[in-house]
Amino acid sequence: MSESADSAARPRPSGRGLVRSVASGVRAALVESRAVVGLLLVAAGVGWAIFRGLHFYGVSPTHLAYDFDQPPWLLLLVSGWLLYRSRRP
Amino acid sequence: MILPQIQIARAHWILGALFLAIILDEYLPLVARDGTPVRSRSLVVPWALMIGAAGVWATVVFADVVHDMLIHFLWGDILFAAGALELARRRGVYDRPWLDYVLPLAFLSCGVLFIVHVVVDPSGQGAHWHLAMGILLIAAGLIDLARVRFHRVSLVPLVLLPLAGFALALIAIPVAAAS
Repeated sequence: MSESADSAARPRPSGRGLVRSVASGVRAALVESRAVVGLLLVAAGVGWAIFRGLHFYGVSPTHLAYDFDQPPWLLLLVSGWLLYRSRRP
Repeated sequence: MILPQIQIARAHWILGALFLAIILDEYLPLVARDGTPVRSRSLVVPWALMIGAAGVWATVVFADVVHDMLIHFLWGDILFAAGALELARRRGVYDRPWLDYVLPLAFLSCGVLFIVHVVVDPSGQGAHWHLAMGILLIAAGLIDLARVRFHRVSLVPLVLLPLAGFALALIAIPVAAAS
């Protein structure tokens, strides 16, 4: 069989097939959305800490609670929880 | 007893972070081993709702005006009832179809409480923010009610947008207030 006949026999990608493959790619990214949102929260926490600064109160139990009860740390804790929960059940 | 502004901000930061963790865990899809998305049914969510309720109830003690006490008392009641019903369902103790409406109705009624708070005290501190947060919660409740009612299945539910906005407002606004 000649090359031109072979290429004519090969199915050409249709517009619908392209849309379907893009949709499946988006779907694959969305199902990993926990990890994506977790990483976004890490970035937000780091950005917040750089922009607003973090206070250090001390290392006693009460002061540690104060240390971590600041928005950047709380965002990092939430992102850690989310990344932990992104494992496959 | 009147708490200093920074202590009020701390309480809001914790509640906001707890709420953010709850809604992200509840509404972002989990992927099963076969690759299909599944809904999280973690017991952490109802427990977090009830811990949040205890925190909101604490405000009843520390609030210095009556309407703050009343609104926070009702808010805590709603969170506790929603947490208890969700816990009973997720443990398999009590399961009814109407329990699907528990979380949307909790969001909706908490949003209405925010609006009532603004109506009772329109010149109070942060009235505009309370109004915005109430509208966000009401929007979330209505969107989630529609999702449950019409059995809409989506990978990332639309309700996450107003809920995440509410949680981030809860964390960010006291920062401005405490500065």
